[in-house]
Amino acid sequence: MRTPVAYYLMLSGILFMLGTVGVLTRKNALLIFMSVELQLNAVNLALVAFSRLHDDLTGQVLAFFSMVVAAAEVVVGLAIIVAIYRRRRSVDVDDVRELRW
Amino acid sequence: MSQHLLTFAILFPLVGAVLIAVVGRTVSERDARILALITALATFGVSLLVLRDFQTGVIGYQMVDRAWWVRSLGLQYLVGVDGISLWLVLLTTFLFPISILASWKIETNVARYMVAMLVLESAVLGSFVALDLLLFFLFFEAILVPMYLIIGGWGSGNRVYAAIKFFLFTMAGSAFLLVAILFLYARSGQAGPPSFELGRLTQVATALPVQTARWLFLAFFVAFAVKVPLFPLHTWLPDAHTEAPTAGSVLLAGVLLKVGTYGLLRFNLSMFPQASSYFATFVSVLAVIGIVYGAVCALIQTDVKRLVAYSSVSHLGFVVLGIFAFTQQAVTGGVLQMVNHGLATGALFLLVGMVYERTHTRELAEMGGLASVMPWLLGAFLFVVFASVGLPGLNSFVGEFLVIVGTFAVSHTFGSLSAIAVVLAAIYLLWSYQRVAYGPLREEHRHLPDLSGREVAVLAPVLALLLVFGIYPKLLTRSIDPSTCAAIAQVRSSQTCADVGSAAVPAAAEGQP
Amino acid sequence: MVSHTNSALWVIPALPLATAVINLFVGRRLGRWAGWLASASVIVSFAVSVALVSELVAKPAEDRLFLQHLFDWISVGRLVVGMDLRLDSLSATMILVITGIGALIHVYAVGYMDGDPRFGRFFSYMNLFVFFMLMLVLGANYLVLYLGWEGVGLCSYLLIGFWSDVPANAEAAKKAFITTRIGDTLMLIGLALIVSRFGTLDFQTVFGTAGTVLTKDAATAIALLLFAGAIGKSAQVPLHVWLPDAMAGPTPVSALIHAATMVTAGVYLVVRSHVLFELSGVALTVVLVVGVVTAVFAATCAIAQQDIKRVLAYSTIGQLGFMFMAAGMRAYSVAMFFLVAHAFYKALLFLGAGSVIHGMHDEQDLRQMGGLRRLMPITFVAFAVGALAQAGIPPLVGFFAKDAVLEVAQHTGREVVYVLGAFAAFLSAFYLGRMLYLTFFGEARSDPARNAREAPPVMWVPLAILAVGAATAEWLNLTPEGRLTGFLESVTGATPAGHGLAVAELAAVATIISIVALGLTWWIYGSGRVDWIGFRERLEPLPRAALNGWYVDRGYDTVVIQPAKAGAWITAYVVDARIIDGAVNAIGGGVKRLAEGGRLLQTGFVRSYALAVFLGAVAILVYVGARQ
Repeated sequence: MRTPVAYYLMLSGILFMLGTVGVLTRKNALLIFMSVELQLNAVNLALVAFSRLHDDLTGQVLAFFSMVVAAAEVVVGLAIIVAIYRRRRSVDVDDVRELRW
Repeated sequence: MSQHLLTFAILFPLVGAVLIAVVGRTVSERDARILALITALATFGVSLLVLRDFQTGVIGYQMVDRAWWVRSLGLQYLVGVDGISLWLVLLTTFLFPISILASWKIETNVARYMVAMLVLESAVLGSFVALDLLLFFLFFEAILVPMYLIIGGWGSGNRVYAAIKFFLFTMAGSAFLLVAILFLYARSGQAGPPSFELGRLTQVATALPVQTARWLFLAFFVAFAVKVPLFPLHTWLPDAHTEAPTAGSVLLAGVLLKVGTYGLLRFNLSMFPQASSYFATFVSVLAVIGIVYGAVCALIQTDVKRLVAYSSVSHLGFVVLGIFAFTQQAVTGGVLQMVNHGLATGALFLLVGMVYERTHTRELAEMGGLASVMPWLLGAFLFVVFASVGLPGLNSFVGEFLVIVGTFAVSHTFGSLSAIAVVLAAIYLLWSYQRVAYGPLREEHRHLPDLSGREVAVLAPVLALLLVFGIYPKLLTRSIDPSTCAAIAQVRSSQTCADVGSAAVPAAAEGQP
Repeated sequence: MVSHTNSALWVIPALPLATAVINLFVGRRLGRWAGWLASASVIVSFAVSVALVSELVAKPAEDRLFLQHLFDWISVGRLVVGMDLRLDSLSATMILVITGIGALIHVYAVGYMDGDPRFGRFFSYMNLFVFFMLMLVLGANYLVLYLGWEGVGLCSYLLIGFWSDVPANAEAAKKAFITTRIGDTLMLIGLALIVSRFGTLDFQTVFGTAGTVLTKDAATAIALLLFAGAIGKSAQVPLHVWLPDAMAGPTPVSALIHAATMVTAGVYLVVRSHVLFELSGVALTVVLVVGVVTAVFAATCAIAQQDIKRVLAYSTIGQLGFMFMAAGMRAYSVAMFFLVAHAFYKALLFLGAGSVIHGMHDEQDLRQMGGLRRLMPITFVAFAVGALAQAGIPPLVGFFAKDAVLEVAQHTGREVVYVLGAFAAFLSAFYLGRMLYLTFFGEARSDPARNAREAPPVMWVPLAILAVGAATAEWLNLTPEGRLTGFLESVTGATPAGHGLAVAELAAVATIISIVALGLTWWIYGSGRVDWIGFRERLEPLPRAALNGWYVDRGYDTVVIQPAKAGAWITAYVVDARIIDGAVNAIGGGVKRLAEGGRLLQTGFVRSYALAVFLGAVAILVYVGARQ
């Protein structure tokens, strides 16, 4: 007996919304970062669920891709955040706007 | 060996540039200069070998060198010379060592400056010998970067404005060129493997519908007209010339502008012969306006470099007028005028630079009486002024005469109007010379030194050529002639090239006012 | 077919060219020898010319032609222009004048220019001039002629402005070059027209086939364009304005370039191209009218000049008018005879004037002179011979030359030309008398005049030779072996003959005119019975206008130069800087303003970007959903 795909999608949707709200409302770069990860994982969940539904491995492969990209992103992103923190003792994204023009 | 000569000529300066870039920080400024000079001289040596191996009278390209890059896409390296590009290559390799020697007094970032110069040489040479349009485009664009750096980095006063203006103007023009090249490339893919090769694309272009060919002609034309520069696309030139360092002005006038006229002759004429004769009147009108307009603007300039820049607009108008007259004498005269203008105006800028180094002013009003303290420098100046004025026996006269005679055969109006510039050139050049050389001397100029040994070495070869090419232009014309003849035959779609030497010019009135 | 090749022709121009180059580079080290070297080369060149010309004369009249092809100069397609030299009776006459008179003037200049810091340079330019002048007359095609034509213009520029530290001299040099260049450019267009009709510039072909190739209109166009060049170079109305100012150059320069040789190049050109002028007919009338107008106009100006050299300058313009008058009446050989005669007496007058100026320490104003005949007797005699020769006192050469021109006019029924010519002759005798009396007679009117010294031998010997020449050159045209005009007729064709007053009657009229003019001037300026300064003041403003050349210069300035300058200013600083470059900068500015507006959207708040992304995603989803 399979769990209906709708449940997975519902969960994925909730996770994605949580992530989105987090990205939009938080000021702390680290928390925004975690929220982005949440969004990515929500997408991964949806991919895997569809893969299961259609009996097609492409979705799972895509999910792996996305995980690898996420990992790489974490490496670079965290490095930047740490660098910013070292320089200005703060990770508030509203403070970092020197590069706008 | 001989088939790779052109490639060597392109690579030599590039290798020298890399070398200087690598060792630039560790060696002294003097060594960087000497290294650059040696590289440029070696390149000149290679080009002399090209001249030696060049077979006069043979129609078509020689010393063709080809290497595939991505064969399936038709990407390749393909170079070769004919009688037209041969002399432009030699002009380039000749002027570069002279310009480097003339830049001896540059003190800031010497190594970087020399790298830019050598890269520039390589790019200019490449665009003169490329027989593949993508390759040509790469070299054509590559010219911009070092020149931009030279004007912007080592120029005077308003240099950044001038450098950006120069860059944007040319880029705007070449955007059209790129689109047109890609269009032809796509068309070539419809029949056989796609290619950027000039020969292939010429076939493709001549088979196009008339209307399409005209649009493509215009796309090519705009790119080259900016470079020439043709009225009314010329306003970048006075700024660029004025702000560039001496060697920058010399090379800009001497070789860079020729890339434009060369492009018109090599690509517009041979790829779109029908469109060329369709637009001939239009282009000739622009050229004649440029000839007179440039001269009139030069009359009233107070900055000597701006004056020479406007005179370039006028002189280059002659080249374009000659090319689009489609007679043997006019086109050969146009090519000759490219070389001659390169030498004469190059020399003029060298001399202006030498005066500037001493007086630190370009304003004519702040000079005067210099002939009494620097007789040799001003003597050389006068010599070059008369070469530019078109005194028979010196080089510029030959080109101007041939253009006027060749144009006159197809249009009395254009031929006569262009002759006005002969009077105007005398007025603005002699007037400015008078203000530099004669009259009361300023107190602070009383102890200026005359030519140094290095400056004599810079000037002597150029001045000698001004004389030699004026007395025996056959040196050049005998190898230019067959190539221009082939180009004209294509436009006039006849077996013969229109020749005023015969009692009546064939098709003199055809499509011409 | 007789081969006309003569491989020695190149030597004649090559000698002065060689010494010009030597003097240019090492003239300073040669010191005074630079002058002697330059003179020697012209003298040797003269000797070679004499040898070649006598070789030429020895041949039968129809065979008098030497050609030499040096190399192909411009050869493109079928247009081949060789560096070709041609010696026929016309160029033979010219080279003898150029090298002969030129040699004397060179020797004179060794004395005149003594002590000048740029002595060597001066002789380099003088030699270069002789070279170009020889190329001009020896050229076998129009392009070699044009090479010489522009070359002498260059040397004229260099030598007028030789003392260039005085701004006015440099200005005069520039004016000379540019004014003549206007004519030269029209001439260049004429050459282009010749090429487009004949496909060649070679004299032989052009003159040989002109009758079949050219229509009357084409011939007129070509002839008038060529004549425009002649007007510029020979300082005819309306391009005469440069010659009086050209007197800024050292006096030997004025004698050689602006009297004896270069300015006569226009006459040479017309005579050389007479085939084209005759085909046109109209062009000859133009030549005649310009000649007559110039002769009268220049004579009226010369009367009022106060500067001794400017008198001679206007006098030269007028005499050139006489030559064109002759040419315009198809009497080409008479024009050439006039040219030779003029070369003698005008060179003599200039050198004499130079001697006076030298003796008076660079004073040129007639009002400051007077009484010099006692202090400078040799100069006085020579100068008087020159003045009387030009005034037309028999048996001096000028009498025969002028008489020949007036005779042609009268005999061909051109009474108006005859009367105007005689009037111009009267005026010229008048100003010559005035100059002669004001300079050498009466009392000295200034300190320099009281302390003047006679010229050194190096200067007076050439003067003496020229004086002998001016007194006896008529033998060239009177010898029983063959007259100069006859010698020239193998090139120029016969002088038109006609009926009219007997030659003796014409000669008598001309002589009376001259004597009356000289007597009148003696009464006004020489006798001391007339207050000529007060007389002049009573005639104002006429003398002032004549002094200023009837304000032609000022007219050109208001009508041509100032509007042209304003036009150039508008073109450069309004059209170019404001309109064309303004458009360019406007495009740049427009893009920049657009970008400045656009960048305000970038707030720098990461979360507002994120919100934008989110809203964008929602919008796309809604759009996609709505479409389905």
